[in-house]
Formats: sequence, structure tokens, C-alpha cells
Amino acid sequence: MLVRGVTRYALAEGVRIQSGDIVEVGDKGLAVIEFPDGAALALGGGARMLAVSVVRGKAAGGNFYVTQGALKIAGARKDARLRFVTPVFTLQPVEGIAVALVSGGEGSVFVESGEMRLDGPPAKGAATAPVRLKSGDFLTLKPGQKGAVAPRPSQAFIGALPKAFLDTLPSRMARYKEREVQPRQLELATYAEVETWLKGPPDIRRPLVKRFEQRADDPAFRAALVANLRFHPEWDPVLYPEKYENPEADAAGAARSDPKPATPAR
Amino acid sequence: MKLIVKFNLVFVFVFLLGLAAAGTVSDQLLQKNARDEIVLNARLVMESALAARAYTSTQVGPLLLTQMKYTFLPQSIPAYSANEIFDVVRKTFPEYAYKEAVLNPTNPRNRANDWEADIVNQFRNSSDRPEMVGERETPNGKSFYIARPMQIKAEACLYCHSTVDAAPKTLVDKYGPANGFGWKLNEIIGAQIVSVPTDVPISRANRAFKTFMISLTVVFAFIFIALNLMLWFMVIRPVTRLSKFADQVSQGENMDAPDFVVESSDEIGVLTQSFNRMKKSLVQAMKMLDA
Repeated sequence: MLVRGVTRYALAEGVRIQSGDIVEVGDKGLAVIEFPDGAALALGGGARMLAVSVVRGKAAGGNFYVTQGALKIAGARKDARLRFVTPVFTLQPVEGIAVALVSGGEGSVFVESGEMRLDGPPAKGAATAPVRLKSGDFLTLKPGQKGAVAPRPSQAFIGALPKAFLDTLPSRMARYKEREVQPRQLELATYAEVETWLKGPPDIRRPLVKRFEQRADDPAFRAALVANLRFHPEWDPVLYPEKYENPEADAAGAARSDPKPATPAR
Repeated sequence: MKLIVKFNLVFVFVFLLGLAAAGTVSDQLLQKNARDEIVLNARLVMESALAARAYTSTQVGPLLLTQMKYTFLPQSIPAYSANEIFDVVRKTFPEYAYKEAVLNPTNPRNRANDWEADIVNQFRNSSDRPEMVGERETPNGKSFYIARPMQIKAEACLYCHSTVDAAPKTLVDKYGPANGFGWKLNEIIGAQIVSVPTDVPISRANRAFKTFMISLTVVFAFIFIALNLMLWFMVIRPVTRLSKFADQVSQGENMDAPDFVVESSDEIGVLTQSFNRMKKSLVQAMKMLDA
């Protein structure tokens, strides 16, 4: 499934991913995003990814937020500017091929070849030193634990990966070089379909307010926003704009109807 | 001694002589053919194993290279493929045994034992020797074997067998860092050996020999009966009747009887005509004497 703008689309082979696209792969599905320089990003079944930014150019580039699932980064070159953010770690390929798995607050990375830079979650508010993973290295990060690099991937990790990830990713890009495929439009995205992203880290969810603002007119969407407002307080001005009108009018209005002062958004 | 007895004695003597000669020649020929067939089959087994090895090494192995980084897949190992294919072949030919005997193998089950190591070393000492065929004593009797050298001819082999560092980690995890390394290009590292108990070609030849001899005997028996019947009906019976008739004529009996009739134009028919003429002449002579 693809969410572009505020609309849900059916993904098809050949669709070009744009900045802001949300991609969700079905449980038995597999999605591969190929870059002009030969680099590729594969998403396994159940993976959810937001293309925060996709850089157009010869070298692969982009900033991707992956909340869950398996991903394989292949063919990353030294001049690539790729960054994969997950709730557990941030992965920046230096060069080569790596496979990562994010599930249940735990994340693992195995470097098939080349080198990857891994930034763990900040420990007690302080940023941790990045880890350089080399070919064959395997690292699992769990909440509250400092992971240790192992020379082999665990059997549990291998077993959880899609079978296709254990092979070299086949390239299909040449078939669509001259042909642009449009995704099939379905319906407007519901709150449940974008809930993960609206409740994401502040850096991710804040830009989404403007994008989904118009959906607040939908009663069901609005009701869900209101019910979950504590997870995304930046929506308060959208849901209750009257609270944020100019102080004089606000004060006058408050004097007329509500004795309580308005609470500013966090 | 009657003619038929003489004839049969000669026939049986010739038959036994022919059977012995044919038996001796055919036994040697069948034994040789059975061995040749075993050698040919063994060569086919080896060629199949080599083909499986080459296919695995050049086509399957590269496809599984990525997977080998995650888990060890024996399917990418040429020796494994060769053995797996031979296991299938062995269901049809259970008497054949195949081994890739290697002096320094990755998998311990491929390690050459004493006599196999001797063969490998002979190949290493004379690298131009393409094949060895021989027999050896085993606790279960004699065993026939055919061996060919295993030489490292492809660089791809060295991916797993040059050094521990170069080999896939999963392979080292599986078999350890001690064995199967240090191989060099063009080095003879082992031998393909196909062995078969010697009883197999011998029993195969014996079965063929038995069938051949029984067939030959049956054919001779048929010829024997046919010749005897022909001799009886075509020679002995008319000659016996003619002889009896001649006896009677010689004793003055049946002088007025009609001629002895034999409806054939062969030698017996000619003899009968001659006898009838002789009888007529004798009757006329007797009549002239009486007059």
C-alpha cells in the first residue's frame, strides 16, 4: 500500500517513490526501491516505511523512516547519501550490503559486505558513539541494553528474514526506465492507516500536520485525532483553532464563555 | 555297430568338443565383457559425478554465494552434489560404491583411507596418469576399483579451500579451520574411486555363460533329434527294407513280386532302381537256365 498526500494507492511494480510517500508491505509481500546508481532498498513482508526525503540524482540518496519490518540495503556506494532511521537505530551505509530487522522495539543489523555506520538510541539523553559494522558483523540492539557485535548472524535473525533477502536482489529497473507507472488510486487515508506515523517521533510527525490537515474535516479522522491528541499534541491548533486566536479576541471570548485560560501546545 | 549308433557317437563327440570349445571361448569373452561393462559403468558414474561437480561449481555455487553468508548450504559444495547424485544412482545400481577420497578434505567423511591414499599419491607422483583400474582384497572378498585423479582446475574451488580467511565463515563454522585449506591450483588433492565387489562381474558373466551354454545344448539337442529322424526316415529305414527285400530275392523268394518301390530320386532311389534292374536280370537269367 502506498499513501501519497492524503490518499491511499495500490502499489504496482514500476511506481516511482516520491518524498513523503508512505509504503506498507503486505505480510507476504516484497517491495524493492531501486536507485539510478544501482543501489536498492528492499522491504520485507509487514514493513512500514516513510520516505521522508528522496534525493533525485545519479547517486542514491534519501532519508527513510522505517517503523518495523525487514529491510535490505544493497549496492550502496561511497557517494550514496542514504539514511535509514528506525525506532531502535539509525543506519547509514558507507558502502556495501546490509540487512536489518526491526520488530518489537528490538533491532538487528547484519552486514553482508562493505561497511555500515550505526547510531544507537541516545542513552539517558546523551548520544551514543556510532558503531562501524564491517562485512560479516552482526549487531542486535535491545531497549536498555548495549549490543555487542557478533561475527555471525543469529539463527533467529536468519529465520525471521524473508527468503528473498538471503539472495542477491534482482534488478527490474531497466524495464521501467522509459515508462512511468502510476499507482491505482483507492480512497482517502484513514486515521488507522497513518496512525503509526502521526504518533511517530516529533521529527517525523510534526511535518505531517500540514499534510493531513485537510483530513481533520472528516469527522471520523477528527474524532480519532481528538482521542489520541496526547500522542500528537501538535494537532491541537488544528483541532481547536479558536484557542489560538489573537489574545484580545481570545480574552474577550474567554470572558464571555469560558473562565479557564487556553493551554498552549507542547 | 549300426550306422545310427556310429553316427550318434560321432555326433555326440563333435557336440561335446564344440560345446567345450565354445564354452571356453565364451567364458573368457563373457568375463572380459562383464569387466568391461563394469569399467564402462564406473566411468559413466565418474563422468556424471564430474558433471555434477562442474555444474555445482560454476552455476549453483555462485547463485548461493549470498546465502552462504547467512547459513552453510552444502548444496553449493561440488562434492556434496556429486555424492547426492550418486546416492540416487545407487538406488538402481546398489553394488557400486563411490567416494571422493581426499588427502586433506573439508568434510572428514571424504578423508582417504590407507589404500585410497596410496592411489592418490600415485596420481600425485605421475600427474599425467588419467586412470587406474585394479583389484584389491577386502574383508568381504575381492573388490574391483577404478580411480581417477581429482585436480583443482578452477579458481572457484579455491574460494572455499585456499585459506581460512578467504573461505565463507559459515563453512568454517561447520567444519572448523583445521581441514580442507591450503589447496593449490592444478594440485591433485584426491581421487574419485568407484568400486564394485569382484563377485559382481564374475556372477554376471557366469549367469550369461550359463544361459549361453544351456541355449547351445538345447540347440544341439534339437539338431541331434532332427538329424536322427532324418537319418532314420531317409536312409536307415529304406536301406533296411531294401536289405530285407534283397535277402528274400537272394534266397529265391519273392522273385515274381513287383519291384521294390522307393519314391525318391536321391541316392537311395537310385540304389533301389539299380536293385530292381538287377532283380529283373536275375529273374531272366534264372528263366534262361530253366529253359
